[in-house]
Amino acid sequence: MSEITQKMRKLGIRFDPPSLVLIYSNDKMKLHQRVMPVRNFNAGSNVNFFATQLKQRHEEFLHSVPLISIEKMLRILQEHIRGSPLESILKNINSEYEINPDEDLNKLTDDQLHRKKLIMEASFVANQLQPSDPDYEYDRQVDFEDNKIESGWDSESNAKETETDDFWG
Amino acid sequence: MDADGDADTVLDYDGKSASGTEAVKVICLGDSAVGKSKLLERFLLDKFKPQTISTYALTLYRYSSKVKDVDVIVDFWDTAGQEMFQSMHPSYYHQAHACIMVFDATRKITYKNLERWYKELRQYRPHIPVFCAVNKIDANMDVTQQKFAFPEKNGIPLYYVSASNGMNVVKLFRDAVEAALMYKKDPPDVTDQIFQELQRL
Repeated sequence: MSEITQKMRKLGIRFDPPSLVLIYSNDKMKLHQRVMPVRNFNAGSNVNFFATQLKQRHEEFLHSVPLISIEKMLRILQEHIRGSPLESILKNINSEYEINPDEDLNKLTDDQLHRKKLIMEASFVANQLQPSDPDYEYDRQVDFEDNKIESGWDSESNAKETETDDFWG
Repeated sequence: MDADGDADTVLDYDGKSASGTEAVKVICLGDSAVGKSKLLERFLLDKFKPQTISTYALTLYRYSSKVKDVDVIVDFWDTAGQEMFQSMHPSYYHQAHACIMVFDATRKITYKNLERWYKELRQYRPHIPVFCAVNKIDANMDVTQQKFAFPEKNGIPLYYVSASNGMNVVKLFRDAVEAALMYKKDPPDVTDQIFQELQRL
């Protein structure tokens, strides 16, 4: 099965004609390129839907590529279609696809929140211990008592908080 | 223990369930994406299918268990996106016997916002036992060496947990359920009220 031995090296987007570009290596570590056209995609398209479709259509090549990575490429394409300059596209899209520890996620729309959750899901799954894992223990207890230091999350300015946070009124 | 199946109705938590079993309500509070649902799912595993009750904008996990040989139904209330409003609907707090407050070990803002959640909680439920959990410690083990002023200041126990690898999750929920039952048996609110009445006489 070729798909099992493939490993994603790079994922990119081509603007014209719109296509997703995958660089992958096979078991002999030889690099290959696969260009997958993105059809009927426009400024208002749902990236999650299109990413899912692409993943299904090119299952053989994209099965190990995270959906969120494909979505991110499509978002770059979408901003390009909307006419944004490349520099600002890359800056904005990067912040869309990273977790800022100071960003209040309560304020996001459902779509935006869903995206952040997908990103977090990657780390959740990476560290997950499931009943099928040998190290799994249902009631796993670890005591982290004594010698604790201040977290640093209490030190700063309560003043700033009350001034700038208008969300909670 | 098996789940009580139909969680499509909201019980009267001040009394007992229709079958006469003791029933308690435990609510979860905290910012969007701190992992409240993930924690519940880790505790309950796959045996329990949650019900989404759209009228209340909440997800209800009904769990049947035995605590000290007594059968008990525990309804865990989880938010269903209500965080985007300024606060929770009063029905969310109504008759709650315990509360689990969660923040994210990788996002400071979720810790900062606990103050607001706590303030709102105490407006509705001034005396119920509260538990605090810092989740996602698998992604930031440093926090397990750290202490936090919010729980300390309010006399709330803090649990270092990970819904992902399961650390301390079961302990957190079992302690909360036990405290909820104790609270229901002997609610300090009522005691306080009687005490206040007596003082007035």
